[in-house]
Amino acid sequence: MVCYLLVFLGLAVILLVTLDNLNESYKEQNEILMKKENVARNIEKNCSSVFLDIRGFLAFGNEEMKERALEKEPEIRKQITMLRDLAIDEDDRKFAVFAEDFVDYYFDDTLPDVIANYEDNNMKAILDKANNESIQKLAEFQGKLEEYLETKDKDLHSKLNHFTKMEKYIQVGFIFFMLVSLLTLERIIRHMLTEIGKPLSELAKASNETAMGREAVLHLEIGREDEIGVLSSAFQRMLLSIQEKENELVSHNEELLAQGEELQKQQIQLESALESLEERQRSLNGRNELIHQISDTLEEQKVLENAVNFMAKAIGADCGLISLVEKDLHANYAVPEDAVRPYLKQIKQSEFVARLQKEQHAFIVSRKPGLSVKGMHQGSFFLHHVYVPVFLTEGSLYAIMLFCRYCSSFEQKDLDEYEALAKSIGNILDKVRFYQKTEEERKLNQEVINTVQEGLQLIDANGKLLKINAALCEVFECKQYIAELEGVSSERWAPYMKNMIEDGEAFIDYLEKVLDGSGDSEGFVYSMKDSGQVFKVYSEELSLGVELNGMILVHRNITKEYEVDKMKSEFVSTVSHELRTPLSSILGFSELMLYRDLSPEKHKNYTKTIYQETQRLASLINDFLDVQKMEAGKQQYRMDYVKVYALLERVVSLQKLSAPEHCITIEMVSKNEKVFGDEQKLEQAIRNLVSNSVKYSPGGGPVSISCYREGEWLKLAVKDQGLGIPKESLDKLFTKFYRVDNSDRRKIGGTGLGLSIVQEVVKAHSGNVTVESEYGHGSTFTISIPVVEYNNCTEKETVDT
Amino acid sequence: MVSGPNSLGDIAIYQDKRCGGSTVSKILLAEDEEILRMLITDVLEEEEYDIDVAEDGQKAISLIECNKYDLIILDYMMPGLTGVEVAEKTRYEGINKDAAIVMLSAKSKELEKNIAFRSRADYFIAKPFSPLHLLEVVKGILEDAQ
Repeated sequence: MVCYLLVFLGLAVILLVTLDNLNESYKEQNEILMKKENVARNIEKNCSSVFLDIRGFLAFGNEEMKERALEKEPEIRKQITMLRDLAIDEDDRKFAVFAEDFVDYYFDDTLPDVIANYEDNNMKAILDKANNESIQKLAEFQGKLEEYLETKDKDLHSKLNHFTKMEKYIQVGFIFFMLVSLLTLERIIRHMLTEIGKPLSELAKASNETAMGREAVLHLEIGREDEIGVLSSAFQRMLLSIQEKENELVSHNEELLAQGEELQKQQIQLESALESLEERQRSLNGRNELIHQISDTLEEQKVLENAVNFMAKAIGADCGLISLVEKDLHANYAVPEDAVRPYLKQIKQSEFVARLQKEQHAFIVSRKPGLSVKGMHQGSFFLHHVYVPVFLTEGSLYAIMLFCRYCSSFEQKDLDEYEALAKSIGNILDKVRFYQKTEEERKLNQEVINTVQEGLQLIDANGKLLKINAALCEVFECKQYIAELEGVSSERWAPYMKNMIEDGEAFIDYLEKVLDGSGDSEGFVYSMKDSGQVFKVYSEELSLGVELNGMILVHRNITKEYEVDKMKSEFVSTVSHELRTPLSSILGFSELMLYRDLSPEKHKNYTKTIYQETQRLASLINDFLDVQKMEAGKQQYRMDYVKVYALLERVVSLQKLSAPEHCITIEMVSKNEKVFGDEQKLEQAIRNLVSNSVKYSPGGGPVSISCYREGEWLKLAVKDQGLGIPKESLDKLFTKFYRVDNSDRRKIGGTGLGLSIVQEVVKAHSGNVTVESEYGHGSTFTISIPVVEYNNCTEKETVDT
Repeated sequence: MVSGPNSLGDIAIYQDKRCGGSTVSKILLAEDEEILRMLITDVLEEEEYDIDVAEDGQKAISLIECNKYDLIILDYMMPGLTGVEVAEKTRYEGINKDAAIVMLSAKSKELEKNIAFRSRADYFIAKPFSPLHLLEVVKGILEDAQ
């Protein structure tokens, strides 16, 4: 095929090239001929004009003409040279040589002669010459030129003829070539049809036959090696294997037919089995429905109602009742209200209960009904009852069911079914009981955890928060989302707590130790950033069963203990300081008295100092002990009605002994005013206030004590016009050992406990003490004690007390 | 050197001596308890010391700022500025940077001792103290300095 195509293409190309070449050579030759002709004609034209000009010159003596003729010479010569260059054949060359000769003769010999003769006016010589040879030569040249031109024309014609002929030949060749090609193509197609198409249609036919299920025979020559050969042999193999398979199938089919018969027999058996299964399934569905209906609630009463309703419907009872054995809890189905009680009584009859407990099976009782049920019925009529026990999983009788039918009796064979249903009810009741129990326990646990004052935090071994109680949430401000905290990982809750704790890093360290299991039993003390409350946290391992289930972290608020502790140590340090100062004086001066020789004055002075400091020490210790006693609540108060005026008078007279220069006055409306309290302690309190007033009025200013009622309160005010107290010191005034610190007061001694004692005493009398003061203008201390009415019978009461 | 009766009034005599001879050692005593001030000045009067007294920290500072002292005796617990604060200020700058400091304290806890030493007091005496012991200490320090 490819060969054929190549040959076809090659021939076509050769034809085309030949045609082209022919065309080209014709054009070339034609061009050369045209050129030659042109040159020849130019020569003729130029020569003619020269001849004319020369004749003109000779005739009229026009110099210009002569010049023009002479000028043409080089041009004619050039054209002759061109002609010679273009010459192809002998003819051309001859003509060229001839033309050259003629030009040589004319321009070199004749024309100069003629011109010279003309100038000599020798016309005769010119004429001679012309007649002798020139005319003849000229005619000869012109004849030759004509002849040459004619030959060239002829040449051109013959060339054209030749070309047309050649073209014709080529066209004929081309048509012939096309015919040959068509024939060859036809041969090839025919060959292909016979070689490939036929076997293919054979194959198609055969496969068609096979597909139709008929036996196919392939009429093909064996041994072909091309694709068709391979295809046909594969097809034949396929046919063989199909035939084999078919045989196999036929035998299988026979076997299957035999089996089919057997299967039919089995199917009949199965259908009967299926019927019984369906029946069984119906009863199971019923039970499922029962479980489903009953268990949609976890309330025991509801469960009983559902159970009795369902059972009654399931067994076709006219009425039904279920009652718990131990508890007074029951439900009924279609039992008239007034009949419920008697039925209940009947159901709980000890003989029935005992029988059910003993036999553990349902039983049937039939009896004649009472009048109320019989009603309109006539003739013999029985009321049928069935008693069904409900057992818990552990086996104890938990409830009894009673169902009744008015017409048809219960049948013994159905009892099994009833018992099965009762078992399901028992299971459900069991679950409900269990749920209630755990729910109660859970609530109790939660309640317990929440009522514990300590913060509790239950975490698992990985630090996940399992439970947290309200107390801890109160502290860490998480109460509103306490429920969401369960299951939160330690990565979240630990940093949260850390941020609220003063030394958060240390807390995290402690937690890490706890989770490692390397935490000590000492616990960890931390204080809250905002409230300043102090907590101690300790951990206990919680192991339920074998595995370590987690930890409980207990956060105990120890703020009070902590503060008491701190106060105690501060107190001790303050007291020791207060004691050391007078001790230093006593020790120092006595040492000097012992080891130094002193002047008598100095000796006396030192002794006096030692005496005063010892007194100071003693009163300090007394005051200190008083405060301690009062704070600890150990101070005994002997309460009685006390005459206020007498008490005040005693205080004033005592004070006057040590400060005679001060004027101390008592102002009160009624000298019979009485107050209910401990006389000695009240006196101590007022004495402290008065002595303070005196002490801090160094200029000897007046001090007044006034007693008056204000509503329910009896007021005792001690007023002075002394130093006064700076504003910033007012709130610290009643703090133990606090002493207003400025240079005016430095010289005035004091323990700093007087006002603390006053406050404690007044507190013990359910009252309070307040102070008003302007710095530099004196102070007023006011004690307020609730009034307790002193009635007629007081004398008696006093005796009694 | 001291003449006349030994009484509280002596303080005034000592104070007047401030501008006296240059060879006597100059001492500042800062103590808020008047009786202890008297005790200390009495016990030191045996030697020829020039003693200034201050009854609180503030006063002590103002004296330290304008007078050169060989020795400063400070009570630890004083109203206003404590002895430690006075000592720290003294050590920080001024003419008395290198003066010897004796700290007196009614609180004898180790911690407070440490604080006193951190302020670079040279000596620490706990109250109640023996005045004769204090005298020995003062003498020792001043002799070392000379």
